Amino acid sequence: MSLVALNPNAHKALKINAQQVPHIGANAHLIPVVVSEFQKLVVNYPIVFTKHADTGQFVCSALTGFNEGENLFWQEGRWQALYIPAQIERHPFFVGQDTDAQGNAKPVICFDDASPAIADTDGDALFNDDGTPTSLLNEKQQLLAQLLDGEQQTQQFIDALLSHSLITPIKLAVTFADGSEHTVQGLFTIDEEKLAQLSAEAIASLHAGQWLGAIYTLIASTAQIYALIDRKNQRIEHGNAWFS
Amino acid sequence: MTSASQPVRKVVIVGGGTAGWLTAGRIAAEHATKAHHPVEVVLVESPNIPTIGVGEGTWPTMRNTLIKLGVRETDFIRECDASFKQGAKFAGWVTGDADDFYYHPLMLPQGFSQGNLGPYWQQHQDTIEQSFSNAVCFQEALCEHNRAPKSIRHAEFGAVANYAYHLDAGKFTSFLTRHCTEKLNVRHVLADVTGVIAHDNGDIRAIQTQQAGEIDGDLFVDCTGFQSLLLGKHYKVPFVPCDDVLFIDRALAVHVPYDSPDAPVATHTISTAQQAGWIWDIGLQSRRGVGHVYASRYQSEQQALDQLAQYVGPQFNDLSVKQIHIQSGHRAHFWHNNCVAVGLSAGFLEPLEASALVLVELSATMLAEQLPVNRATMPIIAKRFNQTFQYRWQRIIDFLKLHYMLTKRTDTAFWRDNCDPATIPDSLQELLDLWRYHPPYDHDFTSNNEVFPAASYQYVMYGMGFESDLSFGQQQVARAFAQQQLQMNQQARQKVLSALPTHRDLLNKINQYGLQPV
Repeated sequence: MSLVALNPNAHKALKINAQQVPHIGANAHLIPVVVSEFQKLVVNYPIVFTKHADTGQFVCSALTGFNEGENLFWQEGRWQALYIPAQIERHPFFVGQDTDAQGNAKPVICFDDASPAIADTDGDALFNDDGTPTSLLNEKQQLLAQLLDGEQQTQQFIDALLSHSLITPIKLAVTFADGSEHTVQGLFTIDEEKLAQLSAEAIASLHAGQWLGAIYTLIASTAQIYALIDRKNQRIEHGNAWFS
Repeated sequence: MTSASQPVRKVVIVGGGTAGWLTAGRIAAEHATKAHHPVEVVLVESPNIPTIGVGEGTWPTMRNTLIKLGVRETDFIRECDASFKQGAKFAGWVTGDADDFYYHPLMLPQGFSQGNLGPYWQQHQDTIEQSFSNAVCFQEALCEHNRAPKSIRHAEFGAVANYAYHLDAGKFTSFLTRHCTEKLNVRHVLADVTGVIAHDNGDIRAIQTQQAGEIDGDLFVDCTGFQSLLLGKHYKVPFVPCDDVLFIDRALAVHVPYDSPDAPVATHTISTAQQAGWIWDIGLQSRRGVGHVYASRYQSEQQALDQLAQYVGPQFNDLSVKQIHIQSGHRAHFWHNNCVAVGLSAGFLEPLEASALVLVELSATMLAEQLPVNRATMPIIAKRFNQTFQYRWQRIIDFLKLHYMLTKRTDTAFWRDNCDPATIPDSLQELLDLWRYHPPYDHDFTSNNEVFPAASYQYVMYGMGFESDLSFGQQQVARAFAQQQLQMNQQARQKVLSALPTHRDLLNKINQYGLQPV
């Protein structure tokens, strides 16, 4: 990866091949997500918590597969879902840091020069002829802003859940169509029983923090695990068809 | 006068060391916050008597104790300078040679519930080419490679490998004081006890204090340390010494700083045999606790200091040495009338297997779980408590003696005398007579009150080269089963060694990020 700060003059002719963007998540079984996209995620994905490998702290993710390297939404070279998480969709752009004349840090948009989504000829332009950003670039900017704000908000969401001891491990043993067994490990969700037992004060504080919508959306999204199992079984059956 | 139906409403703990606070906390967590028939817990502590602060090593039982107290493991690790303990390494106990060591890990031998690998290992050790503990348990490898028993992604109190703690006893006491007073409704009274006021039946009605007047109660717990103020001084329950079995009677202790803040932290207690005793070495986060326990009958204090200095190295000269006189043994019984002793007031044994804190935990657990509801049931529970702990003390004495009497060392009178049959308790001798032909296994330990399980005996005995006469073909397991188990252990060892962080790395991460409760 080689990150370059985006510049309207230098990168006037740069194009993005939108088809290539989701490629980046083809082998990811967990995609980091933010609270502000829960409403869209719930249409396709189970939203879960996992622990960061280095810090052990909870992070919020969309579950896209049962094993490392397995994205069950990635089929026949494309991402088959109504909504693609912002963390994927924002590619090949990143938020970098620059310092202004006063020496203050300010976020700048960078892009990955080595990304397969970067194109010179095929694809959609980032800048109009007059140098203003195209709607594509505006969209990407909004996604980056959503992620930047969302990271902090999602952390506050997790802290609020932890302060009420509402995070609990997912206990699920799955038998797939080929008879293979899989015990779900390292995934966490919201403890519905504890939620139901919370005091009026505790509920009021979650309400004041505007977390109740996210809590119930996340709980509802858990049912998507069964849709994910179905995707896995379909993949297994496709595999079998090849050999039969 | 007390009546038989007098309910137990108020428990007074006298003494504020780890024993006092652990007992207060366990009873309070179980009874003080109950809606129905709550029990008041008061802890009276002298503002003038310093606590001894023995016991920097715990058993894995401490995890459950902390859970019962409602303590966060992250807070405990951060505030008590605590680290993870995965067993004990005994160096120099068999031959005294440089390469002489064995482990007593905290995990059962592989497949222990399905079959006894002991006899198989004994017969095939030349081809297995690994010590017993290494062949049947992967924890020795974790210790030798300084690996933590868990990762930052494990929940508080969860783990890959069973573990206990090393802790700073002074910091632990302060930590418990805060927790018990702030969270568990324990009332803390700073006062010196000046006398005991008795009922006609000999029960303690109240203790007289200098600063807080009379403090009455229904049950009194003596946690006054070596003083044994209530059980020993007031009730004159005799002390039963066991220095004819365990010869240690002195301790010299130092705090040894690390060379650098990121120096490796040992994840096991290191016990290195000396000429007339042994040196403990315990790695906390910020320092090591090192001490020499020895028998003054066999060597002078200067000799003991010299050996300690040699062990610690040149920096020894800058350290202040704490001297402790110890008397090995315990009170004839522990619960008398409405008074029960917990901790050093009940007895003391050398810290070879970290038995001090575990006895406190076991006592506190039994008190919390079986707290008499009234005076009428107290003698029944007292009798049971006394039988239970007389048995436990004796079994610990036996197990400690085992470490000495299986030695092959003859270099000093200390080691030679330890093998003298006259110094070996009958109860231990009987087991050894049995084990000469019947390899030690689970069925040798049938009591509910067992302290050390059969696996612990196996680790020490096979570690020290004990061999049963197996010519009768006793307890043979199928070769395929044994090989499969040894293989499984080998695979598990490779897996954990590649997956687990170093001990220091985990401690740093707990300080920086904390462990999650789930």
